[in-house]
Amino acid sequence: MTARFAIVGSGPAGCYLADALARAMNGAVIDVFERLDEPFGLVRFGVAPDHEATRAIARVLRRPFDRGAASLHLGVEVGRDIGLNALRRNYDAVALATGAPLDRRLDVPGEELAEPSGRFIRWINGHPEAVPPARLTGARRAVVIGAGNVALDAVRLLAKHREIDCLNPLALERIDLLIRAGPEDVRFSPAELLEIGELTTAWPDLDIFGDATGEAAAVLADFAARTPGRGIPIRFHFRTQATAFLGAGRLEAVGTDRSVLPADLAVTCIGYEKAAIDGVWPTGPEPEPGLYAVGWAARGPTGTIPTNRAEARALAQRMIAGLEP
Amino acid sequence: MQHMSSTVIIYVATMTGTADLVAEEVQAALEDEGATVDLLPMDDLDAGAFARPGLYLVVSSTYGQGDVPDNGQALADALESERPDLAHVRYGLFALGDMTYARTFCGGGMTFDRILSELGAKRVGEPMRHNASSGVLPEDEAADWARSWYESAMAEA
Ligand SMILES: Cc1cc2nc3c(=O)[nH]c(=O)nc-3n(C[C@H](O)[C@H](O)[C@H](O)COP(=O)(O)OP(=O)(O)OC[C@H]3O[C@@H](n4cnc5c(N)ncnc54)[C@H](O)[C@@H]3O)c2cc1C
Ligand SMILES: Cc1cc2nc3c(=O)[nH]c(=O)nc-3n(C[C@H](O)[C@H](O)[C@H](O)COP(=O)(O)O)c2cc1C
Repeated sequence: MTARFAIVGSGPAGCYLADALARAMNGAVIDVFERLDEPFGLVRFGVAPDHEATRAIARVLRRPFDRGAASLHLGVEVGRDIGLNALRRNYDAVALATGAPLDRRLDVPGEELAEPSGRFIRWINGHPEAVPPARLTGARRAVVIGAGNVALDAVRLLAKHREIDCLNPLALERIDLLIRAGPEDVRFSPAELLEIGELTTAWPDLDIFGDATGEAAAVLADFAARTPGRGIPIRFHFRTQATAFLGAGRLEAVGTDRSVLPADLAVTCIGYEKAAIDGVWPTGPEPEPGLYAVGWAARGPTGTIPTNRAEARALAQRMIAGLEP
Repeated sequence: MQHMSSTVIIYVATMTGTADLVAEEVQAALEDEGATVDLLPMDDLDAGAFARPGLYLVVSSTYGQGDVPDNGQALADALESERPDLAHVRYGLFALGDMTYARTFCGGGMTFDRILSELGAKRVGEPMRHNASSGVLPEDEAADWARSWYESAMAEA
């Protein structure tokens, strides 16, 4: 009997899983269902447009479909166009690779005046369901909230707004980055931080701070030792929490536990949450017998593209071992 | 020119799968040249991986700061700690990296180059070092590179 696998979602986790299953089991039927008309999840609609080498991973993800080892069914949302139970009846094993599509909220007053990062980056990347920010034209001051790489993506893209078509109407003079943690606890990768230091349109504006250790902190210490640069200052506010988004109908300022910062645009980059698929909350690696989960659907919104590949390869072995004899 | 057919063993270390594409292109090109090719991810290899005399090709990308990808770390560690004599081994190197990581460019592949040569293996040709920011995809350069590398290997044999 030919083994039949269904994978829900065509982001890195789903595509790497399809590839791993196909390589481990010659001739298996592998169907990948994707709700959008374009595949590859956050590699297409999340990864920043100026990170071309990372976006080029799409060609690796496409391989199992190009080789004919798996089939990609676009525009099929599981839970709407096909039920999860129907899928489970029709396949020997089903894996949820549906990611963590919902923006996490800060839960502070006036939050509807801010842009959540997922929505903001989807819009920049031309997602079919994109919602443009309320106020762009002429915006002079932006506040970005977060301590991870998505916050640095947002800061960098805002700093380069002249080069990015949809952001071109901005007229930014200042970017404030609010980081709840101290310099020793940031989740920025050193490589992403170094990119901030290399911007020609903006410069990192931060003060000397204690004796934090770690690679990211070393880059930050180097920034702090520099003389003021040219262009847009990117002011790093450590140990600062946003407490309210202020304005009547449109954003005018961001309140923090230290001060009030005038702002025309605020982007919250504080993480994502999973969504239930047909009433089932994905969680990895095997939420129910015969039902699997991989990638952000399995472990939540942490880890980079390689993490998904390693996890998908391990899950493929588990799914094959779990087939009925 | 007519060559004697030969076996090439390709070991791949990758994080996001690009090195796999390279290795598959190399495999196809070398098979066209008449070689028998074994292609293996490094995951389950140990210090005995190079025990068979013959021609090897290491394809490795780079992560962290000049590091070997996770799935090649165990092999690199095993070779370094057990230090088998590899005088019977000839190898080539296709390293993947990105010049934006200036100081650690292709460090993963170059780590294998260092270890293998320390253990007495002899490299055929110069290491190929692909730069992800060059605008050229590594898999598009792989077949041409592999053919000329294989020709050098056959000529030396
Ligand atoms: C803004 C941003 C930038 C990032 N940049 C990088 C980077 O530069 N480098 C890096 O290594 N990592 C980066 N990451 C992390 C990386 O994108 C994730 O690790 C990875 O995309 C997770 O893969 P996934 O397949 O689990 O989820 P996703 O990529 O989210 O894919 C899930 C897929 O499932 C589909 N789907 C969801 N529900 C259904 C349904 N019911 N039916 C059918 N299909 C469905 C979705 O449409 C989507 O295509 C970034 C993340 C974000 C948010
Ligand atoms: C997080 C990260 C770290 C990297 N570090 C280095 C590095 O130190 N030196 C280098 O030359 N390339 C580095 N690279 C570039 C990769 O080696 C290059 O993109 C390669 O083509 C990826 O191949 P793979 O898909 O086979 O892993 C890095 C890439 C990423 C995403």
